[in-house]
Amino acid sequence: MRCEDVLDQLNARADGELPANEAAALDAHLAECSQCRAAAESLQAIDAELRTAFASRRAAAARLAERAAAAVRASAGAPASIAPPAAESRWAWGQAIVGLAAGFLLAVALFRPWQPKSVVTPTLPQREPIARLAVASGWVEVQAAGDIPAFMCPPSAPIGRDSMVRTGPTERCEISLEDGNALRLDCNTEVTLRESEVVEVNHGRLWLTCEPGRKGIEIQSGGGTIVAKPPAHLAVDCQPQAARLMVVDGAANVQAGQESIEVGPGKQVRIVQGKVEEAPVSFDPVLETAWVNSVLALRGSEHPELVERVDRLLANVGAAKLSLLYEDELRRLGDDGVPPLVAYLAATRDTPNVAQRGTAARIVADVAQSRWIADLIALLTDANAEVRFHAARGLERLTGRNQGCDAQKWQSESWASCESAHEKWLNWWAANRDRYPAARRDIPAPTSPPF
Amino acid sequence: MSSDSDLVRLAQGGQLAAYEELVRRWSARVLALCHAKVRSVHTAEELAQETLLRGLRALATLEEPAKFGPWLCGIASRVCLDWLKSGQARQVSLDAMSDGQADAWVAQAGESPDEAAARADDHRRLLAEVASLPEPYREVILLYYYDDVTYRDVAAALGVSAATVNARLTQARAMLRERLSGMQR
Repeated sequence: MRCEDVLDQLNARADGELPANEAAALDAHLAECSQCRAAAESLQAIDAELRTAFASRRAAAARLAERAAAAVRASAGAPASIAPPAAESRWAWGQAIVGLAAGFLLAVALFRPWQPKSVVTPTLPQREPIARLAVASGWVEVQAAGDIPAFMCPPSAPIGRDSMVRTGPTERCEISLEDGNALRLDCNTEVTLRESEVVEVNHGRLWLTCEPGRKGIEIQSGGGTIVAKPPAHLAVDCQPQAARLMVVDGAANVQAGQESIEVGPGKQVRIVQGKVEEAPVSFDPVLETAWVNSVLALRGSEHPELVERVDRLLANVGAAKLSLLYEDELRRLGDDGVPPLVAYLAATRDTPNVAQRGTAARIVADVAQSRWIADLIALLTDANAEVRFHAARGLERLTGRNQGCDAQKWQSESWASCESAHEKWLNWWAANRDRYPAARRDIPAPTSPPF
Repeated sequence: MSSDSDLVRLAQGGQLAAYEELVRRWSARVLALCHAKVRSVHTAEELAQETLLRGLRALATLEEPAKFGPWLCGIASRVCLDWLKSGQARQVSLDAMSDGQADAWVAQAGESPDEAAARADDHRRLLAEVASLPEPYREVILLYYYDDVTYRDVAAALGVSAATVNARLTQARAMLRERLSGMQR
């Protein structure tokens, strides 16, 4: 038996797959070969490491299975059963009821992911809806006014006046209000929709988009009242005794007790037991409301608001990395480290002379793969000469061409000397971009003259 | 335990709960396959769910119920390919950076915060090395460690022989060992 033939058998044995009739020969070889014994020990170590490292992935797979099973029920538009006791068949159908509301079919599922035994068989309330569940990452619990029991609400379901809406520990959703505004609910959040423009936050986190030309929305939380002034984007974090309001864009009026104050963009306040307290002014709205990203992603990863938020988040990551890591460490991340650097370069075009931009561009030029060609072409119009130099260098490395203008010229010469080369790059990209499906499609037009 | 074939026939006959059981049985392997293709945990979860729902919609077209697994894995491959072609793969790296970090930081009994951090760091490094393996090796590692499966199960999902799975796992582990020991030097 040769050592190179033993490796497959060692792996098979570690995985419980070695046929019994091969085990004896393997043992005999191991008894004689210290090198293969060491290989066996090393194999056990890496196997144990992999099993531990994948524990969280296995848990994620189990969660996915439950989510997908719930989605299967939802997609079929039919009720499903709560699993009966183990002694019975696992897939016996239950006695669920489908509710038909005017003009649409609404499946009333009896499945409640975080309270699996709570079975209700309601008839849907025949009320005029004031809102609609626009998107949701799973089933969202809705309880209509009165004594009607809560039911699990699939996406696009209507929601009536005075309805309580509650998300579970893994569900987030967006609710379209009748007047055109929108609410997004984080996990473990509960709100009551009093009217389409009056929302009571019972607990959890909420995002409010108040569109221009629409009615302002009143949010009741923490013993105070917040009135959004359209257009506005607000985030509210409601805890048992207090609420925190972050005004991301626009403005809001906060009333608590005898106080009434206006909170402007980028500001935040706390409402504690009916009193308004100042909160630290500085907050990062993208980081503080990162949960919103996963709601936006439900509408597709090309959703403009999501793309903008991701770019801002990436730019923050890029700035942090440039501050905290050595250039060598950033380079070792290879192409995986490029997205935050490119986003950082794009986000800081208005401050072109920040020293770190040159570092970022140098790393991108050296390690970026071809999916970044369009971004590098966009950087050719950067106001910072060093950034242009590295962008041109990166393009030459990735494409083998310079369109008649080498990197040195991009650094030292005027826009008039480089403009025709830029035009050639744009034309080249238009003709070749289909070869790079992972790259962005379009390159923004430069301001004139860009440098 | 009912076979895949039995469950497929029940599901084709309208018993949705049979398809739910198939979902529970195959979701880890579908997720592993998507993860191997797109290299992003979060995207893989979305694509895996999409795969499982497309499987339901197309179930009536499955003529050989015994081949449900390979058929579903074929759907997963196409879903991932569509996604990769769509240009959305640009956002993979953002996802990839956060893969497994949050849950890896939980300290275990008797472990100091420093030890927990070091362990989490080791796991991140290992998972990063897995992500950088060539696709055939990445696939077998992910399929094997995402679920309690045999070589035959992995082979069925990939449409290769059990011997090929054995050989690829051997090679993949050897590469991981070599890369990790190279980093420690």
